[in-house]
Amino acid sequence: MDTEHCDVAICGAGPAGLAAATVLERAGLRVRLLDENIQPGGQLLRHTAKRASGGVDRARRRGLRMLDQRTAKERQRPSPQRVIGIFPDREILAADAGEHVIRLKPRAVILATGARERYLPFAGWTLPGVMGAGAAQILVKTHGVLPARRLVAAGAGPLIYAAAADTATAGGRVAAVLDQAGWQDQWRLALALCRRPAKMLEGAAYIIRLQLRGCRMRCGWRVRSAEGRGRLEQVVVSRSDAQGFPTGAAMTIAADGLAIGWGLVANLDLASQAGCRLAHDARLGGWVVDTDQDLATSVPGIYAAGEVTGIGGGAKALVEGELAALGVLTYLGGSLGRQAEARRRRLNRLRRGELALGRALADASRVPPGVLSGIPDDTVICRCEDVTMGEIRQAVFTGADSLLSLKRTLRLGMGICQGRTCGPIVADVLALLTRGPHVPEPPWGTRAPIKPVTLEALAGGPET
Amino acid sequence: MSHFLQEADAVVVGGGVIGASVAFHLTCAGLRPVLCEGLDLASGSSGACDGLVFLQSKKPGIHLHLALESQRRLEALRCVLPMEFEYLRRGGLVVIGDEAEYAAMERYVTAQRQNGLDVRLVDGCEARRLEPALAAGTHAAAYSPLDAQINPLRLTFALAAGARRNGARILTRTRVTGFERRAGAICAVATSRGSIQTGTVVLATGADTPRLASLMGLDLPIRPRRGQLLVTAPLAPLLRHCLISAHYIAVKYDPALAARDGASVSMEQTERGNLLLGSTREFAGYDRHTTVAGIQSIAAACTRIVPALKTVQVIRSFAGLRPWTPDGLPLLGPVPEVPGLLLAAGHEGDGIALSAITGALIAEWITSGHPHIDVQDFSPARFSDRASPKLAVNGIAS
Amino acid sequence: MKRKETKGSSARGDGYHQAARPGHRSIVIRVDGRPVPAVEGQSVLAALHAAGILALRRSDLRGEPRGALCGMGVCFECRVTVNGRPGGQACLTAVEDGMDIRTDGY
Repeated sequence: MDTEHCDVAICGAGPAGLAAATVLERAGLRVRLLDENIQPGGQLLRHTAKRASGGVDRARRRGLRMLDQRTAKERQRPSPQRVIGIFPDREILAADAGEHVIRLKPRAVILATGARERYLPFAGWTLPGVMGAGAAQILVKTHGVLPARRLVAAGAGPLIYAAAADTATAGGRVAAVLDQAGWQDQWRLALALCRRPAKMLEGAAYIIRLQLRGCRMRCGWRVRSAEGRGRLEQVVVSRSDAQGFPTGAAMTIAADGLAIGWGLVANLDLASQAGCRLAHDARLGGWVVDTDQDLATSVPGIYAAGEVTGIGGGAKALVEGELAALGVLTYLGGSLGRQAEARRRRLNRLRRGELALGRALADASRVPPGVLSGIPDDTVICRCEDVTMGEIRQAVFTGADSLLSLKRTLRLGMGICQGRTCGPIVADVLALLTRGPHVPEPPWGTRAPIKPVTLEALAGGPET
Repeated sequence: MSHFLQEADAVVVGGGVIGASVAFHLTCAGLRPVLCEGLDLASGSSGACDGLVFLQSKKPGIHLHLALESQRRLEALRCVLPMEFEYLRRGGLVVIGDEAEYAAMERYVTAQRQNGLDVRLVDGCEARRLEPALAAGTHAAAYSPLDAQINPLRLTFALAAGARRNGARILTRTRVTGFERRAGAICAVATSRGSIQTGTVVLATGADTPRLASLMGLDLPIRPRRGQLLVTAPLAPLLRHCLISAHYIAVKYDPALAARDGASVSMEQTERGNLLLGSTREFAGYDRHTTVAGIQSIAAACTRIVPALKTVQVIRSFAGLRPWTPDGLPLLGPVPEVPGLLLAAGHEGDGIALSAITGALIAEWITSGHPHIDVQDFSPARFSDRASPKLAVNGIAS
Repeated sequence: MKRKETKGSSARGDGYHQAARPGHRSIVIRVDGRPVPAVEGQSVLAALHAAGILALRRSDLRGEPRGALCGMGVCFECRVTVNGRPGGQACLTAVEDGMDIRTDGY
């Protein structure tokens, strides 16, 4: 196993990681930017297929410029590196596609690990063809492949509209966009966006594009089940009341793709493994990394930036990446000039604005209880270990009253994804079944290796 | 505090496999104990260990004798407890690396055979016939058809469920904060949910036992010894047996050897198909993190013994704190200094294998005053006889 | 919302639209022994999806067909065997000319 020394390791090459790397490299530090994806840029910036403008979003335009400068500077694109663990004293293990493991010993770390989608299960959600809105967007925008010939998008929050609009723009047919949130929630969101004309414009553009292509858009509707033999063939939908319970007659929409999503949750694998204190803010996506003004976590030398500190989008990530980089510079002993101090104050101001926007958006994708209580007993919740809703209900009924006891009883979260997919679902289900607790239990910690790696690679490579 | 908690026949502290077994066996004797666990069931070492019920690794003598009886009892419990716990008697191989290890194992196996264990030495060829996954150059092995494996989490839950069904109260997230004594003898246990009157307390708190015992002025020589393990993705059947390395046995009884290079290996394939690969034995205080060095040494040692593992994916690692004692034997039975207090702790890596007999013995002590086996060797008094037990500990380890 | 009749539009294996990507070379990978066209720079997941191959594995315990959920390396539902190595995440693996993919794993 080779050991590499560097000043700063940045985990995640999305907007936050890129912004941080740009600042730190300009200050002359040796930076290692680690990302497991084929292309850098994170969800916001990696859609290289059509990147000419970046659209109306100023943050995206800035991020793309940064990404371009970086790729122009590097002779060849760095191979994807997945971080497989962070250990005491900021020791990091990372592996590349060829299963070559390196050990990094940076003087400081920035966790910019982003977010993943939150899903709510329904009968048939494991059928091939049912995918996250993010997955649909990556297929069409990054890879130029339509997610479906006839797509339905459902759930809550802006991502389902984005996935639907991108599919429609690329020539795909979008049968319907079904938003769980009712009109009241939509109005609240629109009001919040009034202070952000660019965001408002982006949303309006999605809706107009979808309208022009004959897509039906409904608020206060939900998916009841996905059906098909071996893959998705049709989606059964109905109206839903404010609590998320289905009302009215069920209807069937023929579709071979269903894009789902209910907002985002922070990727806390590395943060919790490093021992960083977490905080809970329901309006920032639930559990997030607890940071101070400089984005320092509770562990000395480890900083966090972007969605991991609270779901707030690309502009927040860019601001925080820069802010965390300034924090790291101070931590490593450099004193910031007066100009940088002023910049830090300005960034902090900007950050507060972005956090407020994040909270407003979160309100539009909250999870109403009816969606969870209606899940049939034979629906698989943990996709790795095939644990069903019925087994969870039974275990809670017989006394498993915490996330950890559910994990030990049912093997939830002991599968290959370590509970990243079912974790937020099980937390919601447990809260519903036990009517509490008011302060939720922290998520299951993931253990090294957070992404699978072969024994040979861990042993130090093939024997010579 | 609910009024029905105010009194108990006995209070068992610790919701691991030992505490659950003690509680279960007390209910079998007609008592109604209360079990207090500070977190959740099996949240300590019982939820962070392998599931080996390995007989070959037990010291010839009373230790092995107990393990044999414990295994018979575990097999009987399968029909008694309300939950299945994935007991599989696969047989076990102790993989021997070189001639020096072979010589040591020869003496060890002879002693075990004299103690009535069905075990024999086999050469490399036969070892590979028994376990085709072993490396081509395997030197030799010791084989016993009796070695078995279990799901430790499920065993703990099954024992607790059995105890609950028989009238025990299982209180999770109930921290024990102190002990009240009258004329030296225990009369009540103070918990985070109130006080419980009782004349009998069993500490089954693994590596945490010294802390609780110190509340009664006792200085126990139990120390946490960290064991790291790796979990692989589920695989089609690969291993027919449970495996350990001869190094494992050597390290277990001679801490000085733990410093020698290479982890001592334990391997088992669970019913689900995952492989559990262990294990380090380190003195690192109460730190439950896994380490790069630990993970690396397990991976290197396991792929050397079973080369087919090289391309197998590891999906996580974990560590547990084994309660180590200076002589490798647990502390079982009454503590002379504190009437009413019994210990059931210090099993190090043998907690799962010895769980059934430990519960039975402690229950016999409480109900009749003397167990059916002479277990003087395990008496906590063996350490209070020494002038300064603490000194003795520091002299030996790390 | 009007009730829609199910149109028989999901016959297995027929291709999804793939936008032309100037500057990217067309290559061929093998999926369960059959040739499948792909574009350099694409993920294995995208190439399989474009070919209408949505079921990528069977779930370990129930044996149900499963396909990609998150598309971004989180859920591990898109595991395929890549050049003989099981457990590769199709969404995080870039296609290479002649790459051998199998979707019959668990």
